[in-house]
Amino acid sequence: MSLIEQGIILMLVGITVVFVFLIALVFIIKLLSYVVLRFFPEKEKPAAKKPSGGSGSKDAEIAAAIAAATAFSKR
Amino acid sequence: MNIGRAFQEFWNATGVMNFTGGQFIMIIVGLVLLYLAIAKKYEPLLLFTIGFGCILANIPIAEISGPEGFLGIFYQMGIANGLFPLLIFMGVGAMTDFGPMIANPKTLLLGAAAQIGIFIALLGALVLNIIPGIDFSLADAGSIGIIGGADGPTAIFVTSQLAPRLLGPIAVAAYSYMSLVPIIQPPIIRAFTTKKERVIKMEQLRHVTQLEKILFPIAALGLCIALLPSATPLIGSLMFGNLAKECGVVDRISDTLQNALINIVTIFLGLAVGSRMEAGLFLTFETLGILALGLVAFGFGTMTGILLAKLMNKLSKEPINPIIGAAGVSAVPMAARVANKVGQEENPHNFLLMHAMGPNVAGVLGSAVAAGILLAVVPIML
Repeated sequence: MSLIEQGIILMLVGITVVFVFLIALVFIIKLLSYVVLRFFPEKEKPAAKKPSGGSGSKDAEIAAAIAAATAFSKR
Repeated sequence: MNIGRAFQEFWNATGVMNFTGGQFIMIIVGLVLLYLAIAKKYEPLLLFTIGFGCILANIPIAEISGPEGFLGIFYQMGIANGLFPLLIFMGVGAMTDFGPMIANPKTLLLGAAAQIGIFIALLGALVLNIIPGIDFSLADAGSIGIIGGADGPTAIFVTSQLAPRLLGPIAVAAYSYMSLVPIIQPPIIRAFTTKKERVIKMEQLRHVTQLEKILFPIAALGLCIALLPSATPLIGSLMFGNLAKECGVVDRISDTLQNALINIVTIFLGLAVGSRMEAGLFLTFETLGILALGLVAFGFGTMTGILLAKLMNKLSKEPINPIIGAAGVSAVPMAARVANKVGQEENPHNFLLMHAMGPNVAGVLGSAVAAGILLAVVPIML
């Protein structure tokens, strides 16, 4: 097998594994975030932090409030 | 021995009498690196130490980079065995905020795409073998390709394991091109994106909780253990530093990693890399090839990152500004700053920095993974 052929094999293996690894990491992060935000949400902290955090944290607060309300009403 | 002969012997032992042409050229190269560091502020921490090490290594008679010389001892201490790059990686981990990446995990794909440059340069190195005077093995080619990871410690780690003879040129190419990111990347970004794409605004990133940031390094290391143990020295060091930062209970360790330790190791690492710039090792045709291939690796990495970002923008519901794809070639945080700057040139109110930090830190992981693959596969193929 020539050196170039070996190089091409190495390239294909390399690119594939890099993508497989990082795609796997995408799913792990998504799972992690889902579990953490679902079962261990931060208590009150975003509100206590700088209010200049922007709409992101406010949206999170509103989402948390909605989640709390639905959980309450289901009881 | 009469006095005349004593002076004669002394004269024969001076630097003037023992300089070779190559050493003289390399001292000038060292001075150029010092100039780039001091006057141009290009990666000063590294180019300054490497440049001075290069001067010291090319002094006749003193043998500073020999096995008994102090630079040679630094080399044996932490480069030959790969220790210094790992210590640097702990510091990098303690300085890295994976928050933007956790908030928008899709950007990990950009960090993967930008690593394609590594493997294109690898192939390029093997093609260069047709030029007489250049003889790159597969291990050499892998080490040259990793310059495209735009990550100095990773490049040094891989090269010290696969192709130690090329360490000088590869480290110099890696750090020089990292410092040239603001010059290399913008033209490539403009060439592969339209104005309409460059003004795209991205949605603000969500808040990432501390618990997510604590669990992430453990989860990432777990994946690495499962899939690619050969990358665990790099990823493990990175995640050690990162967990020390995020957990909040070992601030003293985190502080040492990101300040005192990384500074000390940078001194040792830079000088030891400089010691590999002896005339005999550095002044070869291959060095020119390595410098050219490093540029190819950077260019292709930037391009593939951008192209995947364009594709993701087309397929995804949320808008993705393709500029951030260029930040996938690690070079933290320089590449992210460049992406931000290019974006603001089109629209001064568009802040891409945090969005570009996602692919940027993903690029660090991506190049560490690529390094792990090379370390695992190349020795088998040889």
